[in-house]
Amino acid sequence: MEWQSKKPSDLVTNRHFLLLVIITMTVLYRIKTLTGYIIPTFGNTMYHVGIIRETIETSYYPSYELSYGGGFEHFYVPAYRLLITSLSITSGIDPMVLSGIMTIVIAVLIIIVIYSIGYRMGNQYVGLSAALLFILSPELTIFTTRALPELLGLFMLPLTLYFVSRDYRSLAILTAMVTALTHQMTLLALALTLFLYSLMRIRSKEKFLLGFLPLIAACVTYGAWQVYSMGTLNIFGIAQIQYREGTIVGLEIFGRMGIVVILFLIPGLYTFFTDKVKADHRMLLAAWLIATFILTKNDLIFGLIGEKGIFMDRFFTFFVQCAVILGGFGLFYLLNGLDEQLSKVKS
Amino acid sequence: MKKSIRLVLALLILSSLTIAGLYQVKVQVDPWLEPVVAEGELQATEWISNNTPEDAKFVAGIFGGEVIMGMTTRPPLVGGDWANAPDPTGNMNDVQSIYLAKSSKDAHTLCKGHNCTHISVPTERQVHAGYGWIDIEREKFEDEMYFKLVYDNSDVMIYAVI
Repeated sequence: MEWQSKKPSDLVTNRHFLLLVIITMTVLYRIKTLTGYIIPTFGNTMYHVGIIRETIETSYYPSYELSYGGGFEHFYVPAYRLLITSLSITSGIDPMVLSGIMTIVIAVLIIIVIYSIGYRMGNQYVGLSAALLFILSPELTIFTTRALPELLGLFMLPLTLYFVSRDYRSLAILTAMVTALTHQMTLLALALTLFLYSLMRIRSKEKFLLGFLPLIAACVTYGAWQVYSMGTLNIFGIAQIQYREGTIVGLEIFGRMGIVVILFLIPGLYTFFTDKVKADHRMLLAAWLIATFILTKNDLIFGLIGEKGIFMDRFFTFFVQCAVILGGFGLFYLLNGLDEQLSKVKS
Repeated sequence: MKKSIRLVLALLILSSLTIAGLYQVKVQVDPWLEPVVAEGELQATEWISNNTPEDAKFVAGIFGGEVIMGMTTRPPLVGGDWANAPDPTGNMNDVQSIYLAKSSKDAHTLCKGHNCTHISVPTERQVHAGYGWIDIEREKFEDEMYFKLVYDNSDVMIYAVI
């Protein structure tokens, strides 16, 4: 592949050092989640701490909610909460403090998986560029500095897609199932991505199954959870669908992608979809980008059926995650091109 | 062009982009990291854990309610996940009405209607029950026919609903 052979003329010689610098910056910015008297509370963080504490105190994942007066069926998927619960029991650290610590740990893991996808689909410099763009995106920073299940979802979704890109079918199935139990919005983003990827690869049985089997595994896992917790597969009665009070993703929220990310997204799209990138990778990233864009603009879908409002705006974060990988291609391409041009200039 | 000059150019470009990006991150992300609740509200949760029954139900704003839920597992009337709640907007309306009411009796009736046992009243900040930030009408909670002060510090007062 052409991407694998390109490098910016040894301008950067120590790639691991640069990745370490990016990870250090990630940790330094997020350290403030631990230095205050309480973790950041926007986004219902303390609600999740409450369910974790209840699980620790009773040794059971609660069947009934503590929210909104409590006493009704609790169907929030358990993976993130059980992760913090088990670590809290093992370490003896209070679940609120541990939630803050794990926010930093998971944010670092997200950086590493983004780097790995860039590395896999392009080369190590593309991976580094994507990791750099990740920390320059306000949207991704907003959702990776708070102790929320979506944080784990932002790790699980790209990890599953990484396994798909490596043709690791069993691992992709396993991580898709864990994603289904991590965060409902993440599951929707993953399911639509895998569905589109399967459609794109329908002519190749093996590649089709690579996307389709994790999709089925995730859907069955979630369906089983919902029947267990709510006694029904019907999801249309939930408040998010009834009230649709999410914020429509317009220019202001779009700008939260980050000026630097936006700057490199266009050349990144051009480079990725026109250069000799492996077809599998091109289709996987295209599926990710299209799926998350459709979900981000779900207000338009409601508009088509004559309804107003938006189901949820958080899908945008998954769109931005894909955008930083594409932007990584753009940043690498421009730096590489610039270097090639400059090397021809006589001193 | 010499490799060292190209290296300096590349570093300049990358540093400029990084500084611009980090500035945007700081400006747009810092507000999301606010604690919102005061330190005294967090301290009060220890008293709540030790001095209220496990099924005590609290009137509190969304942020204060979630801190009570997070630290003590006592359910608040608003806050948490509303996806499956029977009447989340009704609860939001009633909590807002309890905080805004001038009449002790009206606030008390709403509290009793939800079987709430306690009310958290922050002293230094507004509360948010789902429809924006509001100032609390505090005087009504001093009527001992309906409410009894059971805990206070510089940031919060906890009343029992009589």
